[in-house]
Amino acid sequence: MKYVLFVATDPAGEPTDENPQAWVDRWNDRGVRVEGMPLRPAAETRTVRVRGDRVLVTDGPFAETTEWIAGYDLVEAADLDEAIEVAASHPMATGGRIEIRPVGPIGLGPGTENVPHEGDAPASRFLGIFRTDPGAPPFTPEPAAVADWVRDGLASGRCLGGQHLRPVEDATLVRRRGGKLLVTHGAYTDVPEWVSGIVFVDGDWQESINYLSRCPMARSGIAELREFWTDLS
Amino acid sequence: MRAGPAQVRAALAEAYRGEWGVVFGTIVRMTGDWELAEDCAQEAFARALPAWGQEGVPRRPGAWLVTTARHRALDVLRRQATERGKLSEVAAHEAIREPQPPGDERLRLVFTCCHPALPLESRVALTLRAVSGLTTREIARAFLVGEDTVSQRILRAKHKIAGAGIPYRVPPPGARAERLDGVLAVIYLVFTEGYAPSDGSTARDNLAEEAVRLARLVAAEAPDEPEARGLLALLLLQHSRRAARLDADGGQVTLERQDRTRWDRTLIAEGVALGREAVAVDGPYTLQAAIAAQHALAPVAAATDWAAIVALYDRLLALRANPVVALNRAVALGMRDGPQAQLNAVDALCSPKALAGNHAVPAVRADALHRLGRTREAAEAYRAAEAIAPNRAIAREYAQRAAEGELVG
Repeated sequence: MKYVLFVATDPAGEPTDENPQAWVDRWNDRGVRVEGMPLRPAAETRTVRVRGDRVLVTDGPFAETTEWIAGYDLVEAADLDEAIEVAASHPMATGGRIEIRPVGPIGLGPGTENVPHEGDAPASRFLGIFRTDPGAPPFTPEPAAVADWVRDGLASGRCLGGQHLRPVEDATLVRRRGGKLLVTHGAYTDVPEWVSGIVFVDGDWQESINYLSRCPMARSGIAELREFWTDLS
Repeated sequence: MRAGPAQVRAALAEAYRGEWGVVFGTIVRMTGDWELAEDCAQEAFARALPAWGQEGVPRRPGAWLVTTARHRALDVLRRQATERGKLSEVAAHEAIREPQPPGDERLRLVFTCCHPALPLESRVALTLRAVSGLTTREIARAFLVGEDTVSQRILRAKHKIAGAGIPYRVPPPGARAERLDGVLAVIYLVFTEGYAPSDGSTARDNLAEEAVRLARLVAAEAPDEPEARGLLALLLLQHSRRAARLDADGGQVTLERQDRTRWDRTLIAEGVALGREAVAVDGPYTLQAAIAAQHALAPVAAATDWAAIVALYDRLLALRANPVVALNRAVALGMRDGPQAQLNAVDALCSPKALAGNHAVPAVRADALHRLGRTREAAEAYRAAEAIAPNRAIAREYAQRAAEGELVG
């Protein structure tokens, strides 16, 4: 089964000097970690919503919380136990928190094979994080329209793939505090909106915003655009 | 051999209590489908009543029920497969037919139901439903929540097991000790909810008994885990006092004043023997069991070995600072060293916040003050305890003691 690990900050986390690269190497070697990337701070986020015919772009993340998603990793684990093992060994399990979300299949038809991109991100790549929005007007995206959006993105190179996530009710939170492993039910933050999917986007800010704003899901929810770190030194 | 309806019903009730988890667990292992397993297990028990009335109670009722439930599951799967035209799936299901020892099946169920990724209240509800076979109504009654709440919790837990990929197994050796902690915590919670309900209402023995059964199961199937045996010992020793711990009005009778002839000696012997073996390793349950054993072994309250109990509390506090344990230690210390030591220890409790609203704090203070002859202060402390007592019987007890002090003072 595939899981996305959201690496989240935690104001109450403990400092750690564990090496993230060692973690990456360990799970890459075992074929469990598929890919992952740290994200630039939440302050550099743009939020994209489409309401009616208007495209609304605002600075900052949608949810106002003190914690925020600092990166993600995609893993192919046998089951939740193995995913927990992977998350628990991440250095940020000590300094922050890791939210595990199972990835659900989404059948959009031929030409939409929605595999995530491979390799490290060059400067121009962004992560689009889809969130639900309880305040949005009722709108059910046409599966065909979503498929068109994906197909067009893949063909033009603006979309590098993505993942549809199972509901936040299936989220598991993993932390290490005081040397003890804490595994709990639920998401890293309790907000009525939750992440429902991720998509990798290639282009500059404007192109990426344009592409996201055409996604049918931007009408029923919210698309958050986050840039990857490129300089990790 | 035909059996009378009463005999059949008794045999079926017995089988239900003992075998529900095995029947349910077998179908879960076979199909991975918790809803289907519930349907098939229910169907098997429903068919047993007429069948056993006709043909007599089978020699191994558990095996009969498992076979019936499995046939039912295969029927359903075959029908689904025909609809979908996927016969190979049924062939795969047919392959998993080797019977498992019943203990293994239920242990797998317990560990899956107590998976740490499930919220605690779901773990409790799911364990009681899936392993013990309690109905949602029974669970709702035991925890004084709505039946809808319980079904929702169970439903959500089942979805999470399916959706998030919670494996149906006893975790591998490396993760087992840590997972066992969670399993034992759930069993202990079930027990305390039965023994001393959180809402302060009277005890619910059936829930406590269910917890003892679960603890027996885990202790038997995890023989290398001292904490599993420690928990069983602790529950047996606490449960042995059930007949003596409440008075006619449902008020709690303190350990000191309990009629020790009403304690269950068989449970005590078993608990003490288990506790003695387990306490070689310091753990929260083994040490609590050792403390309970010290009380159980004293022929009269005055003969209690308080020095040994204080030493055990010290070891328990060394494992993890816990305000409730510290309060209990203060009482033991008072019995060993006198009321002034008890008063000092209560006043020195470092986390008053964690114990705020706990009626035992002013009550323990009041007891020390009373024994020091500071009657007026004792009465005040009893009034404070009365104000936050969890139920009327306990409040009445405090009020009575306060009134006695006020008369004298």
